Amino acid sequence: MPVDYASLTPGSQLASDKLSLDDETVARYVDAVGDETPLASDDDPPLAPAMAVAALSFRGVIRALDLPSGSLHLAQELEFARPVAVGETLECRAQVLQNSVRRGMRVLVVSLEATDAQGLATLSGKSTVMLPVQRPGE
Amino acid sequence: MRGYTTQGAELPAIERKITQQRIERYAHAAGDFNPIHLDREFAATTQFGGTIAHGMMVIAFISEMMTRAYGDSWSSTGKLKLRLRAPSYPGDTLTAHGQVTSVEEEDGQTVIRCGVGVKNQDGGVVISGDASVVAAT
Repeated sequence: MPVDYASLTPGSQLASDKLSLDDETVARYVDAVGDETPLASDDDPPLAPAMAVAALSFRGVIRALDLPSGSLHLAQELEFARPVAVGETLECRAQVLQNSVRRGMRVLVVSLEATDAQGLATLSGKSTVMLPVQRPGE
Repeated sequence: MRGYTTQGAELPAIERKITQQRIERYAHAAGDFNPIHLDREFAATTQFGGTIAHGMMVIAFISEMMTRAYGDSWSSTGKLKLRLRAPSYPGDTLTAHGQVTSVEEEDGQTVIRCGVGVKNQDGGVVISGDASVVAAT
């Protein structure tokens, strides 16, 4: 079912997901971006790259928004609160901060917070995306 | 902290080649299957004229650079504020770069601020913005 972007009001929850940062998930991410920072430092278990945690935490947002063609990722803010070890499970919650229309394009600002099993913040972020305004019937 | 704590210091640049294969691997890893990244025929009909890399993948090059410069301090205190200014395409060679713009004492901590960005092989700005990190004690 297509997303009714006009109905996304500030404060509405967009996604709430559990993210398991298992070995395979992190390794696949590291391989894709070509991150050459060694995973295995002195930490056991090793720490996941900060951006692996961020990008994977946004998966729920990507699924929930299902952005149409013509969408643009305009801006990104991230704030890391603590390193996350491979094997941890995070709770990721996203909500709409802003939803406005400018010159025929909708601008959505979405916030994301990821917390660990103890409920402590691991990262927060804010994404700004622009997408074509849907016409009635679309 | 590897010498990146003085104003004007250049951070260790990261260079990455964008390929369609890398974009596809990223799509599977990050769960972002938007056709603008994967469907060449569809992408050719858009304003981009072809498939483009995921913005978050390109941002990862900046984060990797910050990790190389500041180690675990980056994943515990790092902040990024970025504008995505242009798409990057298969065949592009991207360079993540940065420079320390200020080092200040704030609330008993040393806060390092950097101008960061990503450029393509033609010098075109793909991403620009700011990063900050608290120096390890």
